Amino acid sequence: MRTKVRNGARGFVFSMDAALSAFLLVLVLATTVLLSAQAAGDPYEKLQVARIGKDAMVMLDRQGMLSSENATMVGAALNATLPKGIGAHMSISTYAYANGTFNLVNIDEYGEEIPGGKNTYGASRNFVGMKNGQVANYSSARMWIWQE
Amino acid sequence: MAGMSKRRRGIFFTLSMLLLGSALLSLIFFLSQQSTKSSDTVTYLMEVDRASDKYSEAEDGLARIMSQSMNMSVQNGTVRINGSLPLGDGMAGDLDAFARFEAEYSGMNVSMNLTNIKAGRFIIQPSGAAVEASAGAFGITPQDSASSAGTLQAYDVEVIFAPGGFDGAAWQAVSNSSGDTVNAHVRVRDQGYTQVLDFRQALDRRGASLLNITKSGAAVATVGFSSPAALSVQFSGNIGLKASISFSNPSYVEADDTIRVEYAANRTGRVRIA
Repeated sequence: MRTKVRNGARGFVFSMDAALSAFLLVLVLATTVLLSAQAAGDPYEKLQVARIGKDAMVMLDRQGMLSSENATMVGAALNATLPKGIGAHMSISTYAYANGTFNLVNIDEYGEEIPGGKNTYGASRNFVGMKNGQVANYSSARMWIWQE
Repeated sequence: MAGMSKRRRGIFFTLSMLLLGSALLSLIFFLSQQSTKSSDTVTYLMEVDRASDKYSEAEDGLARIMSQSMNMSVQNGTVRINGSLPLGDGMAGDLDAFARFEAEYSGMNVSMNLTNIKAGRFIIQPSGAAVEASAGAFGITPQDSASSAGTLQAYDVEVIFAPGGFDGAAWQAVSNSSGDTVNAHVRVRDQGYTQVLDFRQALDRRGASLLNITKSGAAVATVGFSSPAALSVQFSGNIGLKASISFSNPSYVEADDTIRVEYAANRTGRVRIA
């Protein structure tokens, strides 16, 4: 009887150890997967890519490219301004101001098509178009930017 | 360990496994906390960045609208102002419309108080010298202190008239007897450079000097210098004005108006023009 009990207890302890080992294995695997996933989704990458987009827009605006409405010029300037390996699409909505309201007069699209299945980041900038020393229109530019 | 019974060894082993398991769980929890914190920091940085970008975008827009009537630039301690006076009526409307556009199309709360810019009032910093362009008058008034009027070194002023807008200019009063002076160069000319008159004087920082600009004997404008190192241009009709003001310290120009951006991170400040 005594031998039977001892064998049963040993079996129980063995099963418990086996279960514990399985639990530990699952834990180690889960830790590895979690840490890999966190390392892959670097949050600072988002910050950096968005910054690149914003800086490019400021440059294009100060050079007068954004208000030029010239697709070839804006496309070339985008290519020249953005670093290699960065894709961008830009949309500029232009409004005319009359009687206290802004009326949408035009939407221009520049750059590459936004790809599917990739993380895109956004940047936007409002600016004024001048003509003969006065504001001719008010525009809002939005840029989608991604790593190619 | 060698002396330990098999039973105790088993218990010890099981306990070790449990300890290892709890250590791993703690590690996961800690790393997960750190990761969330880091992600929150990045999100906050992006919000601060976005609010700052919106703020400078608004400043850029205001400066661009302003520059059509009065262009201001700064190079070290020299402030350059180039404008058509009096300021156009359309400028105030354009500034208001821009403020409204930013408020409606920014995706965040942007509000601006533009009272001083619309009235043509600015401040040269850090000296705190006031610039004011009103109907019929343009002035630069430093504060009466060593760090303001005391740092002003020179004025270079160009008053530009339409062709035939003037035919003479002469000093009515010159104060240049003290050792503490400000170099002044006043050029009076017409748009086509057919008539150009230059006046150069080292004028007393605390004296009063006046240059009269006339047409057929009648005054059409005056350029005055008064204590403390202040400049005042009085005119009738329309003139062009180019002024270069040199300070001994690096300077910048701002308006005593505010832009306020309210987002997850707020930003409020004065409007920097140049």
